[in-house]
Amino acid sequence: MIRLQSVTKTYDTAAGAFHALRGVDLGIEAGELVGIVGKSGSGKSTLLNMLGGIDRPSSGSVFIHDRAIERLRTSELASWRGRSVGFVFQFFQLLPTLTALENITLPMDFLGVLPRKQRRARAMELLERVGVEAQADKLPNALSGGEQQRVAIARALANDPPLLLADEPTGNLDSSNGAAVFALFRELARDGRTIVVVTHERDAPVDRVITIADGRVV
Amino acid sequence: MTRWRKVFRDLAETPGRSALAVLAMAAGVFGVGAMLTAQSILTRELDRTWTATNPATLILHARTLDVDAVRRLPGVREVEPRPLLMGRIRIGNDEWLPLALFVVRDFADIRIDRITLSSGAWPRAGEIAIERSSLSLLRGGQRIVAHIDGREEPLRVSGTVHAAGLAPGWMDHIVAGFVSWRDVEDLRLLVRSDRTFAFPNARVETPPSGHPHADQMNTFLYLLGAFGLLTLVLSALLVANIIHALLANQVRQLGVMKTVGASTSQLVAMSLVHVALLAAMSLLVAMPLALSAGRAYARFSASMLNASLSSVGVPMPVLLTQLAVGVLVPVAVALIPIHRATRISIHTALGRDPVQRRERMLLTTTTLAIGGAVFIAALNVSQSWSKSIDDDFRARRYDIDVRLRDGVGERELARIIRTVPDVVHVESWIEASRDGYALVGLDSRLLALPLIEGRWFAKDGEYVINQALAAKKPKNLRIVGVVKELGSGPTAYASRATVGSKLGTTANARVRTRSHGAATARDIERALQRANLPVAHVQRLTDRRRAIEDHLVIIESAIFFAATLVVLVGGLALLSSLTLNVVSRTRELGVLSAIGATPRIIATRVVREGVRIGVLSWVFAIAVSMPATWLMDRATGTIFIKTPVEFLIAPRGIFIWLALVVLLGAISSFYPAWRATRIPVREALSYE
Repeated sequence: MIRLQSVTKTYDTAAGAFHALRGVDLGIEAGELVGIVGKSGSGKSTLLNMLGGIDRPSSGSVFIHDRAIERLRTSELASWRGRSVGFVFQFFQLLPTLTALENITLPMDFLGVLPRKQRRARAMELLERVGVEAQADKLPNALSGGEQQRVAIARALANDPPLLLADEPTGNLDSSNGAAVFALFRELARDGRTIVVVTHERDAPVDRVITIADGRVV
Repeated sequence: MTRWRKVFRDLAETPGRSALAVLAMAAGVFGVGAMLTAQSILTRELDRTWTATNPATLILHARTLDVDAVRRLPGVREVEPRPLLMGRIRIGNDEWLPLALFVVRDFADIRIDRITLSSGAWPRAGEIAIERSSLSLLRGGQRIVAHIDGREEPLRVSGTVHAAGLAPGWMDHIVAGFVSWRDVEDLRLLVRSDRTFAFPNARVETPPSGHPHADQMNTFLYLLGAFGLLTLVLSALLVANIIHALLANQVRQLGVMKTVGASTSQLVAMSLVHVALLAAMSLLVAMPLALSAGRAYARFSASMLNASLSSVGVPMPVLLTQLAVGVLVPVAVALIPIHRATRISIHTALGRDPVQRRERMLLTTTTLAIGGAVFIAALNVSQSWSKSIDDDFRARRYDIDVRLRDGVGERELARIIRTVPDVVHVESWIEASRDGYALVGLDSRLLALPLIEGRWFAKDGEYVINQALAAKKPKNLRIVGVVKELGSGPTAYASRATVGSKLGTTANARVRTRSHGAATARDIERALQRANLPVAHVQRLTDRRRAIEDHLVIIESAIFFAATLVVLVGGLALLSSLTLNVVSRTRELGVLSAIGATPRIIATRVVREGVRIGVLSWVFAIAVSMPATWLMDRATGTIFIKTPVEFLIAPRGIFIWLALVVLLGAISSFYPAWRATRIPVREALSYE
């Protein structure tokens, strides 16, 4: 499903060029739950950004379903991202003025994937699936960290994307909430979704661990 | 749809921030709206008031005149006799004011230079109706004593009238009155005609084709327009400022929305609707206020200019301009920052601190600098006008101006004045009225008007003219210099020998006294009366100065009005942008707190930054105010007195503005900084 060919990424910084990725080759199959581990600054978040089309490689290609996504125009990329990728962040990044339910209907609204009347029902289904349906009408700041992350996962699933990318999703959670999040990922992978998780936890319950060091897969 | 709900919710969930943005936008609309409202009402009404008097296009002066013959001339539409008697009116013991007494044939059938009754009744024999703007010059009372043709005449005040075609009496320091028909020596015939003509044995005068104070009104309207435009620029900058600050706080959320599938156009639409909603709210606040303030100011100005407002209706283009300023300006200035914010990569939006602080501070500084420049320039221009009056006053080295009605031996006049003990020096001048200008003959030590070009006359046959006459480009005069003077109509100066050979001269005198006091003027008055000389007026120079200053009151008021608006708008600019800036730095302040900075250290640091921006903008404001002052000095001077006023810098304006920006800078940054230090560190660090 995912294929990276000789991907490099270099940032120009005040201190000079910074090579975040140095010729990464990688393949991930559909339905795999993959963990990317490495130290801070090793390039794991950059790699995740490449997979989600958040950032473009300096050289090399990122194929998703045999499509080189770096060649898409910005608007095509936005639309592809909305339909194909769900993101989960360490700090949840829920929109503070929308309720939990509204945070989930927003991506549907942007892409118009479902008739308006069905969006609410689907959002409720997703909230039930992640176990926070009782919090549907609450604003994010009224939820605990674990609850916010579950809502964020539900939002990532809103447009039913085949690929889920999570950047340190348990980094801000206690161990029981962290375990619950991984259990949820396992369940979603079982449904056939591809899940890539950047994590510090070397013993994370994933199918495969990819280790990154100094911008290279080791 | 959820996205629109988010837009509304964002507005509602941050009421303080939204209110500040609305207030800042409203300040701009208010400034522009108030100026344009006043300007549009006055432009229309001043013209309408004057036109409604059906002003004469020609005035015929003659001893006797066949009125019917004039009426039959081709092109003549209306004629009406309206003799004018120049006299004096007693307002106290030996205190007199010039009196212009208009004789009306039939108050029930006034066709030209119309007047309307404001209070009381039309005057009958032995009565006078006073023009309402002269009323404040009289010190009450129902009876007055007029001095006309060498006779004292008691008159009962029957009422007040409004003569919109006359200059305001309080401003010119001339009492205008209207009396019923009587036999007069000189006939004055008002004519409305499509063409000019000559008439045997009559002097034909062409009155100005506008209100006697049209130049003053145009200066005033120009100032309102110019300040309106500057306020518009200021308001656009202010709005850009606010939008920059609002968007800086939204960048992270824009990044999040991109990751969940929002397209750039959707985000642009959301941001624009956000701005448009704020703009609409600001219009709701500002337009009614601008309308009230503009109308109030128009009413005030109209009363000063002796005009009546028949309507305070505001023309559609003015309302549309306010709408455009209120909605289009915010949306237009928002487009660039919105475009930039929505195009920022997700990586950048979610990652590094995306706030472009330096750029925003530059915008705040520019806004304040423009505001400061307007404020400083307004006070500079005001100072230039004061200086012009001072210069004019200093150029006249006499204290009292004595004029007679008829030609009387000038030696006799000087001799009588010299008998008054306080008199130091008397100079006899002679004066003649020419077509459209006054000709003054003098061999003076008492007049040193500033030269604009050329030199003072050195020999007989040479003329020096003032700028008012220069604007008329007179012919047949050997002009060697142009002088600047205030408060005089078109005038030519020459030696007494040059003028003495002309016809129709009257003698007058300029007197220098020891005490410069009012008592001497009264003593001179008494001495001349005892000698039975036909006094036209005995005017102290200080009274002349007051009259000139009264003419400038309306212009000063426009400057004051504009400066006040600028302080309001500029103050809000600083207040809102600094507040929003500090709010957006809550996280940074949280970090400072986390590493041990006390609330006091944080507050001091932020307040110092606010003050620094204020001071920086002040330096720019001084620089920008210079060309602005130069332009306004040129424009107002050229319109009003036909020559630019001197370029001057008023330190007062510069220092008041410095005090204002320092104070505002400190206040606007202190509160949000203080509030930020009260937020727990954990919350501050996760602040979005």
